[in-house]
Amino acid sequence: MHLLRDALPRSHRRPNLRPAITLIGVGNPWRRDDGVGWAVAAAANRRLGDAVVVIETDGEPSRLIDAWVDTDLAVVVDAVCSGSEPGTIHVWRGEAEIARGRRSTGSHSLGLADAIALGRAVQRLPRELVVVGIEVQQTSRGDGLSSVVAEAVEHAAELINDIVTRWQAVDQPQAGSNATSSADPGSSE
Amino acid sequence: MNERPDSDRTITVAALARVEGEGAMHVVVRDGKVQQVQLRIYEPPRFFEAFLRGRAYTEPPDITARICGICPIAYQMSACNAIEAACGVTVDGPIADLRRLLYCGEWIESHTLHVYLLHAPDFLGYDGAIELATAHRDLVQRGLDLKKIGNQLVELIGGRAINPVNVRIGGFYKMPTEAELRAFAPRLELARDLALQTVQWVAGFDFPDHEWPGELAALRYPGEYPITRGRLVSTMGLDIGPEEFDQHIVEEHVEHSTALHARIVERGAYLLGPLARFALNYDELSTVARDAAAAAGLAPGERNPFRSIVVRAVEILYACDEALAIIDRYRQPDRPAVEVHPRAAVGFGWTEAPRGMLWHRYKLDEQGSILTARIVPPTSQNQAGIERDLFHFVEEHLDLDDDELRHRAEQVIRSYDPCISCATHFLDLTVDRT
Repeated sequence: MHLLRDALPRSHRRPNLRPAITLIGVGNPWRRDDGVGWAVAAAANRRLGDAVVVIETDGEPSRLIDAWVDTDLAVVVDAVCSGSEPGTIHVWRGEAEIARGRRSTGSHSLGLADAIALGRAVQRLPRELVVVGIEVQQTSRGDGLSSVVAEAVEHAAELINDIVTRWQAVDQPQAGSNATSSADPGSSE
Repeated sequence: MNERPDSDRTITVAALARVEGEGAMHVVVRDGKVQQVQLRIYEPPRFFEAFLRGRAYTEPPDITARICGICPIAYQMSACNAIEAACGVTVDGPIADLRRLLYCGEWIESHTLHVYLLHAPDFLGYDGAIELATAHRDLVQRGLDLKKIGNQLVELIGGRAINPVNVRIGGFYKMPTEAELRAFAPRLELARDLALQTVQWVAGFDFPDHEWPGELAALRYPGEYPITRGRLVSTMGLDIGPEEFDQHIVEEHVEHSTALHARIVERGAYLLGPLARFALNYDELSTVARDAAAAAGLAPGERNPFRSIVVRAVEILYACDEALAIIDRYRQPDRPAVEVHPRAAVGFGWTEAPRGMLWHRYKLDEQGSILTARIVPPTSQNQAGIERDLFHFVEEHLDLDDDELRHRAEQVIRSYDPCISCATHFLDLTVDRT
């Protein structure tokens, strides 16, 4: 409704301030569980409010780069298909770990790992990058999450809330990265 | 007769790279002759048509926008045209202008994505955009900057960059002010400069000698380069309105694909998209775009699909130029939309998506519930033409070994910028010459 009443966007960027934290939901809600990234971003936004800029995207690399360029902390939430139990929440930090750990369910030929590699090549990466992945069960056409994935949404949102809160408390990107390393008791790496 | 020991062979590409969506190609060569070329598409494409049945006439712009993350505006605009036609409403003036402006944003972002990240690596000897960006950071940064301005234009008018929410039947939920649009003009002026540099850059690539020998079709509307309206005309004399689509174009099921193959009755495969638009509407380009095309060596008779990258760059330039012209004449109207009341009727609409004409048809009851919906995207219309072109290309290049032939055949497919996500979803290339 907000979007309908105020459809023309305000700038995502606060004037003269570096946007500190961007939460990026990746996915396609019309591919069932592939919509979990958007759902988690919305749930985390309800907890974090104005503390973060929330962007929904389909994961196309140039849009991801636009979303995280010039940010201090970018948290990307996406659907993952790695063979773990559906609903499992994964957390990866830093380029190398993300490149090793994540397989996207995205249907396009360029995915998150490509966006990170491309971002590095053009020197447009966030200062710190965290990826939260939720293991999916089904990505056929249609809307609505499967129940086991839906149950993981609030857990993942709470996890992101912890990551962001700890990062804010430290208020320093490098230290924040270390401080969040144990913030995910329910996650698998 | 080819005397090579491998005159029978099969070449397969299981997952085509740098195309939108996933698909496969399979080529069979027997006794040194190409026997079969298939672009394989597996998944039923008709989910959205079924999903639309029973929905309100106001819903197709929002629902169909989700078919494709790359060209949602095309789906919204074709849906609006078709529903409004069913309801007997014509939208013109500033609302129509704003629709065209929004569509310019989509052309800029979609074409720039293809030119820089998907297609240019083929001509420069890189495996992909990341390798290109590593070697030529400034070039790819330019592409990302240009695309970003397209994204921002879609966001400014559409409400957000993907699945835009500001479009509705009859117009928009909210119109921007003149000041908001004028404030955006400097970015479009920068985009126009970047687009001109892009035309000059891609014009310098080496292009293989190759020609599409068949029919090209595109919309045409007097006084406009076609984006949001027109009649479908072709290089072989077709000239029809959207309500005549079914009488002149048939869709057929083929075993190896769940996307239907389209052909023009009594003639066969045809191609839509930038090459077709350019061939049939060269005279409607803006002076800046026409001059850039001429300097790049393009003429209306251009038929080399590999050179479509130059045509796309010219169309990016045109879209920037046209967007600036629209902003310059824009006056915010009193109402953001015209009233559209449902009636029991059938409506047809089409527009020029970045990849070519996208056709919608809706049948409504008197309350405005959708009884049936049909959507024919450009990639499924182009699929038979791409196969035909691939057949000739492989025939001309059988002297190449399998790896090189596979690589070049993928390049042919990419030159058409197929959006398999639209035609269906998952596409995988096999060449069989046992």
